[in-house]
Amino acid sequence: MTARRRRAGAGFRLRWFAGLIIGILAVSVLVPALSSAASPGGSPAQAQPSGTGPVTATVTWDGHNIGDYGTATSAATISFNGVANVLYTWTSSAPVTINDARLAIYYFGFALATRDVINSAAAPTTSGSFTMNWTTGSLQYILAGSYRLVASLLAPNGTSMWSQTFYVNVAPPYYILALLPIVLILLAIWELYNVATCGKQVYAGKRPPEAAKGGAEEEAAGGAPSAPPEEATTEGGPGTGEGTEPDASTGAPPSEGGST
Amino acid sequence: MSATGSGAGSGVVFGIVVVLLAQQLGYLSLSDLVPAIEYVIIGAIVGGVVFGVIGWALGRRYMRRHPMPPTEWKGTGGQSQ
Repeated sequence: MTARRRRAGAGFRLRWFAGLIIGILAVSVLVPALSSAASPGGSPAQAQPSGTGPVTATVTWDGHNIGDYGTATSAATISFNGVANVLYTWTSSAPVTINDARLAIYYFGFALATRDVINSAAAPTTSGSFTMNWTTGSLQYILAGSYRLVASLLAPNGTSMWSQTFYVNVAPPYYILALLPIVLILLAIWELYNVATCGKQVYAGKRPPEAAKGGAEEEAAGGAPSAPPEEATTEGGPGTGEGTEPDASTGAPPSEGGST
Repeated sequence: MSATGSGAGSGVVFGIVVVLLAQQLGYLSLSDLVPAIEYVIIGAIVGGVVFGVIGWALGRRYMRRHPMPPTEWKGTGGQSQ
C-alpha cells in the first residue's frame, strides 16, 4: 500500500512537472508571436487598399474616409443598433465592370456577416458609386467590441477589384450585453469539461471500494482534504442524520440538528 | 480534484474570459485567426499557471491549518497493510 501510494505520488508530481514544462514551452513559443502582433490592427500596410486592376476607390463611413479607421485603436464607433451610411466611389483608368460592393465583418478569421449592394445592370465604365446603409442587423445582440471589416468591389465573375480593411467598435449600452457571448462560451467549455471527465467518473464509480478509497487519498494528498469520517458522524449536522431521529425510548424530538 | 487542479482549471477559464472581455470592451481585436488564437491560448496558459500556483498555496495553507487526524486502518481479512 505504501509503495503504491509512493508510486502514485511520484506520478502526480511527474504529471504536474510535465504540464509545467509544456506550459513554459508554449509561452516561450507564443510570446514572440504576441509581441509581433502587439498592434491590434496589424501592420500599417494592412489598412492600405489593395486591388488587382486599375481601380482606385474611396469608401466613406458616415462621411469619414475608412482609411482613418485603419487600426483597432482608431476604430469607428457605432452604437449597439446603429446605422452607418457607407458610400463607395470608384474610378478606373480603363473601363471595367463592377457590379457588387461588399462589406464583410470578421471574427476569428471568419466572416460573421456579409452585406452586398449589387448593380444588376452594370456595364463597363470608368467610374461609379454604391451606397449601403449598414446595420448590425440580427447580430446586434451578440455583436460588441472591436471588429475588422473589409470593404471590397467585385467584378461580375467574383474577382475582387479593390478592397480595404478598417475597424469598427460596436458599443452596446453599458456593455451589459457584452457578457452574453462570454456566458455562452463558458457554458460550452463547461459542457466539454463534463464530457471529457464523464468516462473518468464512470471509471471511478466502477472501481472497487478499496481502489476508490486509495484514489481519494491520493487526491486529498495534493490539496484540500475531505472531512474525516469521525467528524462527519459526530457533529450531527443537518445532512448526517445524527440527532434527527426521535429518541425511541422517550419519544422526544431530536435535541440538535433538527428543524424548528 | 486537488486545490492545484481546481485553481488551474478555473484559471484557464478566467484567462480566456479576460481575453474575450478585452475584445468586447474594444481593447483587443480578435478578427484575425492567428493572433486571436494566440491571445486565447496565452490567456489560458497564464491564467492556469497563476491560478494553479494560487490554488497550490491555498491548499498548503489549508493543510497546515487543518491537519489530518491519524486514521486507524481497518483492513479486511486477507489484505496486507
